[in-house]
Amino acid sequence: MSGLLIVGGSYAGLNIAASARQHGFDGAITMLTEEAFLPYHRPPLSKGYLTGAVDAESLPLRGEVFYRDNQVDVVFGARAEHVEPEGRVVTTKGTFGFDKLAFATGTQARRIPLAGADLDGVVTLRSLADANHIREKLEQTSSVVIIGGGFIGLELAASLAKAGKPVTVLEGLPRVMARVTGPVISNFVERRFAAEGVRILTATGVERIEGDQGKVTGVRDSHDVVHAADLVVMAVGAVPNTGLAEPLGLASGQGIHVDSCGRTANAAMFAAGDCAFGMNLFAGRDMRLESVQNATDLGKAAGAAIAGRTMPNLSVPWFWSDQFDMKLQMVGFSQDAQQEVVRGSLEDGKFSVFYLRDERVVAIESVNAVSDHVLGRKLLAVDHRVSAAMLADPAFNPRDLIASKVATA
Amino acid sequence: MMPKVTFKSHQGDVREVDVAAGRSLMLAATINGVPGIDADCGGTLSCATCHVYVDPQWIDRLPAMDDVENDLLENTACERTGNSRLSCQIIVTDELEGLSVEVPERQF
Repeated sequence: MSGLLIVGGSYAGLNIAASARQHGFDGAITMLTEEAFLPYHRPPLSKGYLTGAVDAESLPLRGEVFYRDNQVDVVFGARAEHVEPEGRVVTTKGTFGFDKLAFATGTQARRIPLAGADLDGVVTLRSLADANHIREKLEQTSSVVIIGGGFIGLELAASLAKAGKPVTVLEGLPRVMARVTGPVISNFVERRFAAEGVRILTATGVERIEGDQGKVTGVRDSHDVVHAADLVVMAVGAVPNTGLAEPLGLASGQGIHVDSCGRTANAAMFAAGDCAFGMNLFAGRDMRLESVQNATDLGKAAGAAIAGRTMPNLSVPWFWSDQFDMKLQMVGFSQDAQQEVVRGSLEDGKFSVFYLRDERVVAIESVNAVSDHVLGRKLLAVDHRVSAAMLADPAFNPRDLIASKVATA
Repeated sequence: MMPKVTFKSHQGDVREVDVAAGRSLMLAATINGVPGIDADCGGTLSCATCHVYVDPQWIDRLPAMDDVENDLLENTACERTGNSRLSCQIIVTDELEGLSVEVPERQF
């Protein structure tokens, strides 16, 4: 009896294993990971781990005891090369059999094929190894260019600026975090970064990366300006790792196709996390979400499904990003909103943007307003009706929209 | 110094662990595989899945919680009580030797 084989050792992989055991799966569980480390927290890699505030010992999601107690066998440094649908996965550390297979392969950092992209000093940040690489280079680094003004780019910019490095961020779209937040948040963040001395150039692409004797010296932007840098970080998004699932007919360029329980079209195969594309019940459409919350919750659903229990992921999607003294928190999706209402004080840096569609709150984006965010996780899960005018009234408490305390899914 | 802290599951199982002083209670739980502490956000005050009920004899001996923790505690899966704390915010020190907490039935 071969049991459950999990390909990938991060949030989704861990949660698939934990949830399968929790719901009664008693076969063997083997987790294959390319990493040299047990599954670990990723958010500190662009923040506290880089600056030294967080040490390596606090990174693992669970200690060794967890894997022993739950009889999860972890195989390190195992790169899966292909899947034989009859029940075997061929890897660099041997061939492993399975009765059930779970893909938790995540994504890899996107690299733009620019001239100079292979110069020494041009890096991406995805893994602990990447973060260690950047940490080692930091002392000799005199200036940094970050390509990409999304969450990773901005978190890195803030961390490196706090470490005393001059930082320039080049963002191709007209505002930072354009794909994931609305303009109020983008503008607030841009002003905050400017106040901290970080240069953010929006509507600015990259022409080429320049170097001397194999090392990066600068970045030439789309306006033909050269920004000096001896460290260049490409933070331009991530690409799902679908290579194992595509030959099985289970994936497209968008990701490995799943339902809301992490099940693929093959009854013995599952997927969860950054690599998974499928029905998100909150949004009511297929999507691929890159977040700790989604990897955790879809992983839990897949683990339950593996144990024979149907427990679809019903979670309201939420996200956070810490940049300087700003705690950014997002719940729901603002892209389809019709109206937005700001509550709180932009001047004090404590506010939320509430997004409405058809008199229903569909997203809340908050800066240092945790109670709005916490409320949002409940509110977005229940039926309610509210007008923009009501929300705009400071005397109105949105908490009143929740009839009773609802346990989050 | 390695203070000892005790985690009780809601079914009554007791786990005693040594915690390096300066570490959070949440980290002590996750590293030692104490079941029932999910710690989804890794201790960054962005979720509420490291919720614990602190034993009544200890609750007032802990440093007070800040506004962010207080707000987040409104989002716990199990009912919030006067003894509820987020274990990522409890830093274990020698003075907390013998600290005892109960782990809620679920975190989500």
